[in-house]
Amino acid sequence: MATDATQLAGPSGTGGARLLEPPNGQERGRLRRDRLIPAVTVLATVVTISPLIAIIAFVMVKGLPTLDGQLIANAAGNPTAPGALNAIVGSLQMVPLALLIGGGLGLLAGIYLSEFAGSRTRQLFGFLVDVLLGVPSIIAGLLVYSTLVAANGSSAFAGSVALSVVMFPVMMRATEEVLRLVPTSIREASLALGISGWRTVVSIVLRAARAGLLTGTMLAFARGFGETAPLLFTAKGSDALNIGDLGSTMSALPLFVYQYSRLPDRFFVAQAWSAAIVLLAIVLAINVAVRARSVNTRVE
Amino acid sequence: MSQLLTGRRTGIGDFGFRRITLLAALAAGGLLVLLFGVLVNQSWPVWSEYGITKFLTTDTWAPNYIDPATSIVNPQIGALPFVAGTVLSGLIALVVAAPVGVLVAIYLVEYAPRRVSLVLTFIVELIAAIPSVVVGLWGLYIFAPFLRDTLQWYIASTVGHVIPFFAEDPDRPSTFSVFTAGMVLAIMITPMVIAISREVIRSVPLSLREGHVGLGATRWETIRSVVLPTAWVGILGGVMLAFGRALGETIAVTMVIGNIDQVPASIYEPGQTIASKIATNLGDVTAKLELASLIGLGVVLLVVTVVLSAVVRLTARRFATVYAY
Repeated sequence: MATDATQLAGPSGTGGARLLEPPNGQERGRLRRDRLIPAVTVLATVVTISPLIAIIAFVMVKGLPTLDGQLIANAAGNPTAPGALNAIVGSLQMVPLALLIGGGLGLLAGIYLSEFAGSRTRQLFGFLVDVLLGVPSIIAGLLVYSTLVAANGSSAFAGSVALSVVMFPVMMRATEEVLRLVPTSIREASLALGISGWRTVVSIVLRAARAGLLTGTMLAFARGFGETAPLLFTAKGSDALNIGDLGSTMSALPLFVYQYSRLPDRFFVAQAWSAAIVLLAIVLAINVAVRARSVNTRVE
Repeated sequence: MSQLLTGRRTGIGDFGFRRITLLAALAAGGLLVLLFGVLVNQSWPVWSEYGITKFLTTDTWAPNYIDPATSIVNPQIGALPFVAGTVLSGLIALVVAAPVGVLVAIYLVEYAPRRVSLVLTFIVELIAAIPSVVVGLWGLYIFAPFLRDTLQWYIASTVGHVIPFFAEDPDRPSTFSVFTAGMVLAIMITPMVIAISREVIRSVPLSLREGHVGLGATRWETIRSVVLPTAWVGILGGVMLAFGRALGETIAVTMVIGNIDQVPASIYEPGQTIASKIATNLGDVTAKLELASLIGLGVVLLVVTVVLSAVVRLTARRFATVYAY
């Protein structure tokens, strides 16, 4: 890593004898800079990572005292011992439904791009997906608010649709990338055996890519699980425990954290921190599980 | 490569499956058309009656204003405070995240041992995965007061003495401001700058570096005069994408920016971004014009972010794999 003095003897050096001399002033400056820069980059890395540690630490410290049975067993509407069950249950309904709509559509679209589309079409759609990935999630909420909510009012279903708008391009990109890694020879072998095109895709290609597809799906799920903005005006949130009634308002964990964080009551703010522990734990657990495996494969 | 099936139609199953997946892919285009169509349509009064120039240059937000002298409704719908808040907080985030992110990427590619680099990359990906509401909660109660007493105080008492835009009232330092929002955004977009810069720096050919080292350059000199100039365009693209992210980030910003409809006179004044204005107000709109104006703000945000991604995508090669999640 460190470049030693002998290497530095530049054009000014006079053959072998020059190499043995100690570095002059200018060379010492170059060497010093060469040692200083890595330290600066390490510092930048420490600065970047410290918020992660601070966030996890403070969420734990602030949220653990009220992270108890009451939080997990009761809904926020419980008059004597309010909790966050309504939000947990709400997330567990809306996010899977959104994954079914947005993730499913994204999977099919990704299959089209990887398996059927010509290179021109693929480029065009790749461009569209890049643009969609850059659209802020609040815009998804705004779209559903101006259509579904304007027509039928706030509902858990509208919330799911808004989340699915966010998840669709994520899943589409992930599917396309993963399917492209499947070797062409597998497809050729399948087709040569007389298996039809669509059976080749469904039974051979998707099967070969299943680990990658699972990764993409889990990350899309985690992404939807942490989103607040699309739900603000669509699912809106509700203190009552809502199981299965997709036509009414419903809470979700991020929504609960957001709404409770602004209440002028210490207990509710503490509950926001506790709910944040649950939210952070779920989202980070999925990410760690999925990404840690890929770190290992990258090392090998 | 996998275009084996591109023109192939052998039966009803193939035909049907192909059609279904094609429809799903067309949904991507449909979604974009729908976004523009619906939002422009719903905000039409803003564009037709008020006009885009007046909308973007008016600094007062009072959609339901009634002139007390004449009792005539005289709505003032100006997007300027929110455009200013969005751009300002985004720029602050950019100024912090771009250099820090590039330095981290240099460390990951050029200096860190392989295993350390992989673990750090993993940790950086985790930062990007933290739900924005959790970052916002931490920002609201922990980071904002900390920032006020440290960096904010320091900048205000040094640079602030020279440039009023960086000055604050020392007796009433504000906790929630455009500056706080910018710093929270910096934390949130740094992982994206790192991810893209890392890919770009890594793709600089080894032969270029070897050539420079062979001429007697130190490692840092090689990075400065070969690696960074080669990777420059790609890094800039990544920084622009991260800027786009910062412009549209909603919840964390809403929680720390102070939510006041004003063009901030200094970076330590509370403000409002387009996204945070929509988030705080859309829930309780009553008047038709107010709703249309909020959706009009959404159109501005949509156009800016779409143009940003399109420009990056058309000028540089595709980055999206690294930031899709």
